[in-house]
Amino acid sequence: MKNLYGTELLRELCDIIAPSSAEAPVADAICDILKGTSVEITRDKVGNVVALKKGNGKSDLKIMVSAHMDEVGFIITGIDDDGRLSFATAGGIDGSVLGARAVKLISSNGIINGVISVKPIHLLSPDEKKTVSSANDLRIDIGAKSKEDAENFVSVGTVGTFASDFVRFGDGKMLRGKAIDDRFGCAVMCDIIRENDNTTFDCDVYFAFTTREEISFSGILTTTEQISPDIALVLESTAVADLADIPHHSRVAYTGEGPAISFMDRGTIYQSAVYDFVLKTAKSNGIKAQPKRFVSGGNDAASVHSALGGIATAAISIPTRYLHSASCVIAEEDYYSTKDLILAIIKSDVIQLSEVAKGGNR
Amino acid sequence: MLSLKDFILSLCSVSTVSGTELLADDSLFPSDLFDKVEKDDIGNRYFYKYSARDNAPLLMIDAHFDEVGLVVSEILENGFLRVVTSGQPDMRALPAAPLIVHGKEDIFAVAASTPPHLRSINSENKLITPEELLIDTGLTKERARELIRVGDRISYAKSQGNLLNGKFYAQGLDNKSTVAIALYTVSNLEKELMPYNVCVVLSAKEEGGCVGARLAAKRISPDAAIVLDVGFGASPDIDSKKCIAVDSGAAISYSSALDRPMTQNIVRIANKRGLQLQTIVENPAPGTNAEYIQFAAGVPAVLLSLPLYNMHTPVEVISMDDAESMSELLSAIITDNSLIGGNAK
Repeated sequence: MKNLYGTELLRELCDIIAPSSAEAPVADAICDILKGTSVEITRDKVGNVVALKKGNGKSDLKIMVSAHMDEVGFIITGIDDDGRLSFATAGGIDGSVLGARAVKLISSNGIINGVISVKPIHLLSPDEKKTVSSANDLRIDIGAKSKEDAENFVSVGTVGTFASDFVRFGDGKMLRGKAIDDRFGCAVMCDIIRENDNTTFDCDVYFAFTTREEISFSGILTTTEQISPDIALVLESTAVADLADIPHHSRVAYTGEGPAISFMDRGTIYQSAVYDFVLKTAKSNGIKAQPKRFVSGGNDAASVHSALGGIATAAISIPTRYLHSASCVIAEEDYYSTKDLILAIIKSDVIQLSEVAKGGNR
Repeated sequence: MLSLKDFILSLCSVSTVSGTELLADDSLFPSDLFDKVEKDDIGNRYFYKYSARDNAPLLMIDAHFDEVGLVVSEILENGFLRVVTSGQPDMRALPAAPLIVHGKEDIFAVAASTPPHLRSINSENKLITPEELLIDTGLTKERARELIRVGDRISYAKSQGNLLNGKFYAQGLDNKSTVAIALYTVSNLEKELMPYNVCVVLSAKEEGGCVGARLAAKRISPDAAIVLDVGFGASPDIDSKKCIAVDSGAAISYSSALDRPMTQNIVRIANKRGLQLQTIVENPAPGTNAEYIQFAAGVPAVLLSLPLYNMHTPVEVISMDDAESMSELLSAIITDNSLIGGNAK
């Protein structure tokens, strides 16, 4: 994985099974990838990894770029007598993408396969045929013959995720995988660190790989309080609906048109000075970017922007179809547009950055 | 020849949405272990193995080779496709599912799912209908038009994985599992022990009205037919009378539509040999090729089923113990000279 870059690195990171509270395998991979670079790496008690790239001293501004390591998944809540497992979702997973999916569980004997069982369609009542299954009514089948048999492998509290292959499709331009939210951000940060290891920026830049975004926006709070950044760039994946049949005003953003910049979502009202700056930086550097045109979703920015005395925060998100399913879909081009934009912001003139750090409204 | 499990998985790795059965490569089948192999215009394949005896009766072993899927009905902006269903795929399994569009080439695609922000409170728990489903090819509309035509089939992308205790999931186990069992079992028989000439028929279009098996039975006019298919695996949330237990071997169906003497003969042979066999009552008819062969071709037919979970989804599950047990049972039945009796004589 160490020698992989770009979406080839993303492929490997997406394959790791790491739902909220079980991010350690991703943290280990990131530490390994960054070994040998000049960043100072620290791991904290709640699982976050922070890589500090010291600046040249021209400015005492601190920029924090962050992405979360966890992905949506499942946690086992009980074992039925017939050996099937009841579960809750860890993070928001819609019932419509649960039934009859393959999953992977982190068992006491390593990773094991399971499937989310469904009643055969032939035996459903007319009402059941029209209704999305809820996690409460579904069970994971690992092939166990009984409760005792299952207990040799799993227990209440065992976690897992969707099983999903990372696939390039759409004439090679689109990527499909689980956990693109937010291994995408992790991969972009690894690329930026490694590709600029011989460059020194004017500011100290903290690259924060955080935990538990999918359930609480809480890992980021710890790093934010430790770092006390002046500017925070939250790298995310945002749900878009640029599908046929959907009215344009509901599409949120468009895959292939660059990262979506949020003015408002369900966790944060972004300072307009920061929002404007990010879009202007994209435009002046000829990098594709677009506004996120719908107030939906939420992310770590909710914790960051209101932390300490308030922090100038931008959410920069890759437009993602079918978010929180086994098939997150992105345009590969957007990966590189996002990376270019983050780098352009970090390299911006320090006087300009100092103004942005003040946040505020235009 | 492959092991039975590897043979099942290799058959599951090809898509055969109804009407495309003959696109499966001939090299998938152990044709050299049979005396004669034929295909017909409707999409059936026939694998004959002859008894060493003269004038042996002809026994048909039918297993349908097609699977459920989708068919392209319209090409939309941004390479999205509108579809209709072929057979009865489980719509609960489709949103965000990986698919293969069988166009000029095989094209990976994803079934779209509606993001929560676009769902009203009233429709929150409403399952998507085939009419609403969109397929995302990731192509431009122009490229999609070059590669895909209305009428092209779409199958679930193939995924396979092992569960505990010899169980495994794969797409297409309905009915590639019993197709494999039929070919594997018959190819391993010694001709000297065969009281019957056997024709294994891989029938077409079961998921669309059992057309293939009906025509096959008329074409070869066998003395009797054994139909192999999958049945609903039992779980606590299903009426136990409508399903059969996984890890308990194959099941034979008692049904007013099927041949009673041969059904009883099979139960008797299994008991005599101490082989696993469950029974299920399916009245008035089981909804398989069996009653079509019986009714349309006038051929005495019985039904043996392999228990399977999650039918018509990408994660159909069977137990390898059941598959081995069904093969052993089938071998015992078709080498027993008292199988065809009663009405068939």
